[in-house]
Amino acid sequence: MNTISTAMAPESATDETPYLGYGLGLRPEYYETILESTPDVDWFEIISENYMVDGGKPLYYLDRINERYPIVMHGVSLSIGGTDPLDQVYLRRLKALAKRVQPAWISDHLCWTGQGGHNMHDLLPLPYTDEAVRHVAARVRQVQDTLGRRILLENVSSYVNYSHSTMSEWAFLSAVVEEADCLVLLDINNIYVSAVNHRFAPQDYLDGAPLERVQQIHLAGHTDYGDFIIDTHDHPVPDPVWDLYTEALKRCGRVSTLIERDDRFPPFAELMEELQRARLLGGEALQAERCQV
Amino acid sequence: MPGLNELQVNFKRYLMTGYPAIAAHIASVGESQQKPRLAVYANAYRARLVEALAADYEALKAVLGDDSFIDLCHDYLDAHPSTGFSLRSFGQHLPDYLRRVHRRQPYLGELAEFEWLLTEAFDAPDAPVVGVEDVSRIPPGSWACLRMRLHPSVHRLRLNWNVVNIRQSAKDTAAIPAAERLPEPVACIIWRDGLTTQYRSLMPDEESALVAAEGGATFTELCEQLAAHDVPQDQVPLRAAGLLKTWLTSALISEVLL
Ligand SMILES: [Fe+2]
Repeated sequence: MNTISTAMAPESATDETPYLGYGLGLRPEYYETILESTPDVDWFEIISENYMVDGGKPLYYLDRINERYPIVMHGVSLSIGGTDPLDQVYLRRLKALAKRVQPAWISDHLCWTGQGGHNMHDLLPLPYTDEAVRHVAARVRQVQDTLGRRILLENVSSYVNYSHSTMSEWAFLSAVVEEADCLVLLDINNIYVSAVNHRFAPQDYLDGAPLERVQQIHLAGHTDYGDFIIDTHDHPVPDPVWDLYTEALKRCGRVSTLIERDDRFPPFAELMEELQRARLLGGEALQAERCQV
Repeated sequence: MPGLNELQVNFKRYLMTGYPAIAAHIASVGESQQKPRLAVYANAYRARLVEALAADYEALKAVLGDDSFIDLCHDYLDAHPSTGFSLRSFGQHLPDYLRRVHRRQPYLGELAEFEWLLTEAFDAPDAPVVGVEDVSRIPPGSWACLRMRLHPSVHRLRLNWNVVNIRQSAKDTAAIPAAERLPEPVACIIWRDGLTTQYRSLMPDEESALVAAEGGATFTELCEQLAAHDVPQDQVPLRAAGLLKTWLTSALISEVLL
């Protein structure tokens, strides 16, 4: 299990950026299966907000599973690109949860989620402008100061582009993470979804993305609506996303990889099969890298 | 060119009301239409919040039927947009909202309150539980001034309608009984025993005793409450001890103070 992954971790992994191997999103549907069968998953990712509760089942299972597996915290409400002040109550709870969980790292999304005190509970797109770069980077630094650690920002899927954007999404991502000095959670499915929706070549994204800062990869499925596709996380990872993952691995070397599933939950064994596929691709990528050396 | 804040104000306004000013700032993608692209966000916004309410108010949804439930959710969303960082708290105002806008169907608000308190008990703070053995070690002389603290998951409510049956039928996906007013209001508690959310009705004397215990009454004062309920004087200590034992075995008591 995780002992193997740690033993095979590339030398570049440090305490701040450990290599965890292949993980799954922790969802209540699988709590019992995980505790009963201790599946061969290297680590789990939680949705932080779901555990910002006072007690009961969520924290009970979190603690039990955390005794057996490394855990990473993934948030959806930071609203790092929002124009409301950062929610200090939220940050305090995030920090308290991190104290309990001792996660390998903490991530959220490069987006905004609310305005004027209202939470839209969605990952809304930012314009790719210098103003937005400066705004987001300053807030990332504030968050990192509060948490006492660097965070990972994830690229989101988007369905619209603003006409006043002055750069590509990947240039925007690069500029933000450079200026903020934070890390990246690269969602391969989101790159694919946005590439189809905005008619760019996903390889261009990989060529322009700040790959040296990628600490984690997300893989997921989506739903095709013909003219555009929506990031629904309710299907297995489709072939074009696997292909793009392979491309990403060629460029990044091996990266801690997670399969996200948020709806139409299949039997756990099916997720394990997908995880196995990711493992094989990761192994091949590492092999190819060794051959080059 | 709109500033970041102006852009977000317009985008939010579009999501909440459909007001289309944001469309002026959306670039077109080849032949693809802007409108359906923007609508992805508007639809997702509503759908996600409806989904959250459906998870918290399963029985209410079963009673109203899908279409009316969705209409209710949309009205509620307009009246009480989410302000918390988590969806967990979004549905908190629905019972009161129903009481205000569906006055002619008061059982809807009551059903919603019952369901909401179940979700409150589900993830209420963890706390120690005092067992029968712990209390049996207390010397008889100390009983008179014994006080107790209830588990933080305990909620009390009074029901005027058959909402417990309605909810149970919805949960069992059985036919939902018609709403009926109960002959007498019934007191009820909702709490969490270990990881399991529980509820049960209370006899009137138990309700008074529990209210007293909640308010910090001593065991003696609790007995006085029972006596006021026509429990024969010689039966009061037995009834009080019986209730205490029930509370202890069902994880209602978190602390006993002497
Ligand atoms: Fe993702």
